Amino acid sequence: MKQPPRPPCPSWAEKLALRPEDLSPADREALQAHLEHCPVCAAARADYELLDARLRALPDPVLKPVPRLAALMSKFASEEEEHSAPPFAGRTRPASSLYARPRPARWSRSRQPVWTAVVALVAACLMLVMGLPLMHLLTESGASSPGTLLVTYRGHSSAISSLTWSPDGGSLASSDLKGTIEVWSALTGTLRYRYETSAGIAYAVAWSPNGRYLAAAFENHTVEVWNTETGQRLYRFTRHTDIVYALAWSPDSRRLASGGGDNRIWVWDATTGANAVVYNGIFPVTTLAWSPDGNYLAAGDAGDIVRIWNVHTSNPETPLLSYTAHSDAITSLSWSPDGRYIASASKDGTVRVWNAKNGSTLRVYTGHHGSVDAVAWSHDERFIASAGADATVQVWNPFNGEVALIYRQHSDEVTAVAWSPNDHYLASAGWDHTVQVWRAP
Amino acid sequence: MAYRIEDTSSSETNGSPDELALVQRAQRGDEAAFNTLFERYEHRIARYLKHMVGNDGVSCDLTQDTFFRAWQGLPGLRDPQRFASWLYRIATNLAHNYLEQARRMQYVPWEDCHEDSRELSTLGMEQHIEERELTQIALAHVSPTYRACLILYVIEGLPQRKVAELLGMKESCVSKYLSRGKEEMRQIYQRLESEGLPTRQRGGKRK
Repeated sequence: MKQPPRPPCPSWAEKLALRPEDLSPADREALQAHLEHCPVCAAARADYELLDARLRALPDPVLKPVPRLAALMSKFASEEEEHSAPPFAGRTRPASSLYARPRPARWSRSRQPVWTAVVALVAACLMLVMGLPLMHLLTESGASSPGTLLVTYRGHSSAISSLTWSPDGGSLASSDLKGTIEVWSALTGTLRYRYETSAGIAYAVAWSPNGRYLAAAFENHTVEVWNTETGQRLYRFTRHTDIVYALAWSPDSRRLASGGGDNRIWVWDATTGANAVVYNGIFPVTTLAWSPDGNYLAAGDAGDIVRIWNVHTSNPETPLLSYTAHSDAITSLSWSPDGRYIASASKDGTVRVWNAKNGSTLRVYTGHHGSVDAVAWSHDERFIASAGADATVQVWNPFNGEVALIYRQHSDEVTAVAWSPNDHYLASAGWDHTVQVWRAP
Repeated sequence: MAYRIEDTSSSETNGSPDELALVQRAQRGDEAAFNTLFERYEHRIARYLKHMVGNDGVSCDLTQDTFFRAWQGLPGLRDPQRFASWLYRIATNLAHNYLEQARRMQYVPWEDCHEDSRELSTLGMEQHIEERELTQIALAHVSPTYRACLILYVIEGLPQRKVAELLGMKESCVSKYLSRGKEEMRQIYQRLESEGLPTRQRGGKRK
């Protein structure tokens, strides 16, 4: 397609545009004969075939528009109840409405307030989106659209077990099944440090809230803490007697909680190992989360229980609260930023959001297929991101259940997800050996 | 050729007893039946709209709007066997409305409404090959009516008869629009290739 193309002969143009199998045998034969003698039509056909192939190679949508429909329908149903006479019972549209109502035009007019509101809502959304130049979105691949992949980090050579943002948002640390910890620039995807150990699988990595330390939990029963500025190892904690699966920093960055296959949680001074306190459980501890105010520690285990302790007053043997609504192992925990709720992910395929004071369930999210492996609450409290065996990351509103986005760029199970400190980005990683940084909703 | 959208005249979808029953139940207000229809068609409609408007986010909104309108309008659907065609027509109309609005909008320069995504955007863009960009842009410039035919016939691989049914037009119109659409796209692609990618303007004549 180097020369300006000439249009095909008008009498053959339509046949050229169709697939050969859509032509009658006589037309196919006649067209073939014509093409042998008409270079213009032959060139047009070659170009059409090239463009057809490129069109078919265009990517499918990344975003999935599942969620708001149910909410819209629900809203529509409730509006119907308010505005119609006689009032409808329940959420469904009554059978009688099919015949009792006039034709759609009149029917629409009778719902004018609802209709106007919906149109206004849709128009507002469209106006927002159209404020960005569409062409630029195309040429720049929609860099600001939620779900847009921004950076793919491919430095790991095995499945990724955990990841954590630096508090300044500039770096990400990720751990893998070979025991390697890699710290890399979230902006460019370039490697900054690589910690290689012989400690076996690195199950968890956690950046201290003050940004100065990085801790990792290993298969060889140890936890190691590094200074992130110098790369120097500060301390190695060796009191666990089995694999260490979970880590959590206290918000003041002074203490570290670690939990493992020995059914124990140790809370200890992160740089000296002093003042260690042990909390005993009955199942391997798979995940830990410290409350934002630093007073409570939540632990999920390979049974199906989440326990909460007050780290200042609780007897280590008796947790304040045990949440037992899951039916399989707990895989991940995340507190709401105000400390009122906890989101717990489980191999039972659900994420449960529940009140941390009394254990009452606020919401059960069932959007995943198979195990849910990671959960993270955004810092602005608006969304929860969950990821799992179905290779998706799903971002949803914990208070109304609306799904804001389903991210489908991973090719295998997603085991870790984390919000950037400013909530503008999400990083996700898993069994496809990649860490992907993408635009959050 | 394997169709990405099933030929809805086959026993699998449009007009099949299974789908007919679902549509009729949905017409009577059965939300579960409508949800099943939603799951069956949502991805196809989203893909169709994405190629029509060239933007994932917008196509998500339009897809939801399509199904929302379908839910509202189901009681008025006289021929439940033609649910798929009816759904595509709603989607097509919404896409046309959106494109018409977009054409009338004065675009805000990217720089003026840019947030703070620039620092992270570099690598992602590098991954996109120029060919794909050119193809997307050229498709976005093709007249919407022709574009709908191109998407269903070329991208989705539907037969001419099914495209005609889904878009509510005669088969002869489909071949005419296809030939015009392909030629229009060819000319646009050629121009973009020689002039380079446009930055701000979009358009093309509209039918």
